[in-house]
Amino acid sequence: MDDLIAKLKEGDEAAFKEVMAMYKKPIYHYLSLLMGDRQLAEELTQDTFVKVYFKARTLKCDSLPAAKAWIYTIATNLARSEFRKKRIRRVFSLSELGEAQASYRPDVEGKLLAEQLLAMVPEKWRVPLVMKEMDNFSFEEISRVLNKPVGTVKSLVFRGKDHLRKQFLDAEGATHA
Amino acid sequence: MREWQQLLERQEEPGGPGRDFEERVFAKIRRVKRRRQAGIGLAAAFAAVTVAVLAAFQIGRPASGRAPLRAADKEEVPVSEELFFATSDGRTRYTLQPVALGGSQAPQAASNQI
Repeated sequence: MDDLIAKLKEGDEAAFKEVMAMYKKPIYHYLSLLMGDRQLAEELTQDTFVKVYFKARTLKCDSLPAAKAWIYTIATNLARSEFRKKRIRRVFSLSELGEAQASYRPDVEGKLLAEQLLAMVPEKWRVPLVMKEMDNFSFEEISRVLNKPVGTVKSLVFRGKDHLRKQFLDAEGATHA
Repeated sequence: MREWQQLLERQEEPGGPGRDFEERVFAKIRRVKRRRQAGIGLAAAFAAVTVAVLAAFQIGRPASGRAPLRAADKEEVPVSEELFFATSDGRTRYTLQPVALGGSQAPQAASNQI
């Protein structure tokens, strides 16, 4: 596997395709949960792999876990950039609702969708929360991706969970009322 | 397990990106490569035009005649002669009057008549 990363760094197209096949689904899933928009998530997943292709030579490690963390870092940075664009668009668009004002839309079974609730969790908590709870990253892995101390990551995940729990209880109350 | 945590548990993975995902990625890669090549071409053209303009206006070359003259290049103009003109009877006379330097005796003045 380490050989695969070495080949990726050399610009080997087959190695790139293999890495893309391994990570396209997890990255798409991760971005879907972060962005709450599958079409946008697909665009960002494509952009992530375009960046992987052009920046593979700059990857400093040869191990697969390090490469995985690096790919998630690229995806997270693209998501953050998209969050910033959305914030700017919201400032200039009075008709668009803010995150906290978004309405709950239960699915066909009357269940609340995790994506909708996650969209209401502030970005700084949402990113580590999704990595921990949905993608089963360890705190150490999240720390590596976000370039933050493990203690900070734990705190961010805890706050994100707490926020999500409150949102869930509010939504449950609203749907049962 | 609490209900809100079950929400996260039952969240199914979305099906994954579309079937033509890889094709789209490679299309984007080709687009970026083309853009980069165009950028390099544009930069080369700009550099060539800049060099041509500089050459045409001779910008950057040392200005001729402005450099300080070396002692060997200087032409000494002697100041040991004076020319006097005088007119009488419709004739012009000039006298070449040597000047004495350093206390030495000046030679006889040479005169002529036009």
